Amino acid sequence: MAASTNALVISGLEVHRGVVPVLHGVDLQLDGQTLAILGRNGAGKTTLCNTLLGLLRAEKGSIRFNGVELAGLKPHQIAEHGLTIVPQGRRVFASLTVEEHLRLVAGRRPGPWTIPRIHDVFPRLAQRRRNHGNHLSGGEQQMLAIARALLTNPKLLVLDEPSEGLAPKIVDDLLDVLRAVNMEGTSILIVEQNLRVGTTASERVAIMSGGQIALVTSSKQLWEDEEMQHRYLGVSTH
Amino acid sequence: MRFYILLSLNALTVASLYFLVASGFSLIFGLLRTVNMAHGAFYLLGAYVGYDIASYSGSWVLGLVGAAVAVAAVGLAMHQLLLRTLGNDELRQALVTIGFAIVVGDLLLAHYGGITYQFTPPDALYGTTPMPVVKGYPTIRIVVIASALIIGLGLWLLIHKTRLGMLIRAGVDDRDILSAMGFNVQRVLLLVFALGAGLAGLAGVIGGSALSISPGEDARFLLSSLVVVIVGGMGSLAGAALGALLIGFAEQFGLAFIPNYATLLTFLLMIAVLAVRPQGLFGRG
Repeated sequence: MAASTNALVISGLEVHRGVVPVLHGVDLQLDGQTLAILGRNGAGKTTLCNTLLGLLRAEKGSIRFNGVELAGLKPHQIAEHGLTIVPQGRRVFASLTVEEHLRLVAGRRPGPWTIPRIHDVFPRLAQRRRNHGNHLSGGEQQMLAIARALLTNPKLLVLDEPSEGLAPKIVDDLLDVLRAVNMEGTSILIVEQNLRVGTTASERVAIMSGGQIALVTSSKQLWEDEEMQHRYLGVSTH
Repeated sequence: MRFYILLSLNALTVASLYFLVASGFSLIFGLLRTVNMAHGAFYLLGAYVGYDIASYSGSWVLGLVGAAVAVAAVGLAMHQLLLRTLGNDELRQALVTIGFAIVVGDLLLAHYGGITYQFTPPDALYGTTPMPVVKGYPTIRIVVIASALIIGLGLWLLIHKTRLGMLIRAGVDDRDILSAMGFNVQRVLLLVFALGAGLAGLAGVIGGSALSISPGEDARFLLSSLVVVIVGGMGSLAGAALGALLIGFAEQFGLAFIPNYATLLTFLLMIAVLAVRPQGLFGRG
């Protein structure tokens, strides 16, 4: 499977927001699989996502994807290397219809994802074709944000808090889609606050705390170790 | 009856001019978040440049096109050399563009002097067009109204029916995410800036033909653009159209009935909108 080539290596990444340092040397590796990053509010998860996509500038350190240094590139250049994001809060375009979202990104990079296939996977989006981004339910917006990202035919898909504000049933459907996407060779980095979603999405989890990766462990181990959950995530029960 | 129709036609003419200038201003603000305080200077520059081209070549149309192209080029230069280095600091952008406007205004004054210029539009646009009830109305003013309609329709089609328009709308909504989806937003921004500036230049020739060209017009049209987009909503084409109509009618009817307080009426309108809908009538909160 082509998956094994999509290697992301982050090392010593430092990022400031204004003058305040938010990431203090993040080291993380991802190789063709799905990796979940869990952490409390303010641990630096969204900052990490935005830096990966070039929306924030890295002060120090490197982000290498398939051997190419991404730190310092512009967002659209990074996208050309096959990275894309499903951002926190969806951020679908309010003044574009569902169909326009799809047409905007489709066919720019070669790959398996086309508009008909999106309609197959998310029939709801076909029904809501003429609706504007701001006239969709939370679940529909999330589908659209994922569809938008998939149509860029990414090699690495970053999802920032995809479960936020969604019903458990919808979250489960999304996780199924992500599993299928990963099987086709797209690496997935999923950032979550929700322990259940993070550990279900991925076999491996990285825990972020205070702007660093505190530890990388298996989902199973984290799920069973309540003391660990309490220490890093501030949750004591499932 | 005749009086009211004439007054309305005058209001429409003024509103059309305001729309021509403000649509570019609003477009630039919507996408670039740049309050381009040099927009009025672009208008005046377009008027003078268009006048020169039209005088030398003897073609009014050439003056119109030439002014649009020249001002678009000046706008691009200003954006690349001055604005781009400022990042997203709105206050600095406003100050730098005010400075640019002052320099341009003074250079124009030095070169063209303080006298008033008047275009000689082609014969077809000169004179009066017969109309029912009011008998006739100056053809050039009908041209102003028609060009606002055409430009407005053109912009609407561009924004709502083309791929570039999709990019512009998406960019207005969320620039960062659009760039993360692989689009070179900087290029779209430049294009829009040039388009907005070019529209101001074009409006300069049209306004200079219907009214006249003289120093001070830059400030007048900058102010009207500001009021129009504050009333209509920043970045919205429909808002610019509605804002221009409201301001145009308020101004002309005010001048007719309460001449001493006409200017006040415009700003009262603005204050009323700000009090009820601070984001403007068509603006998104």
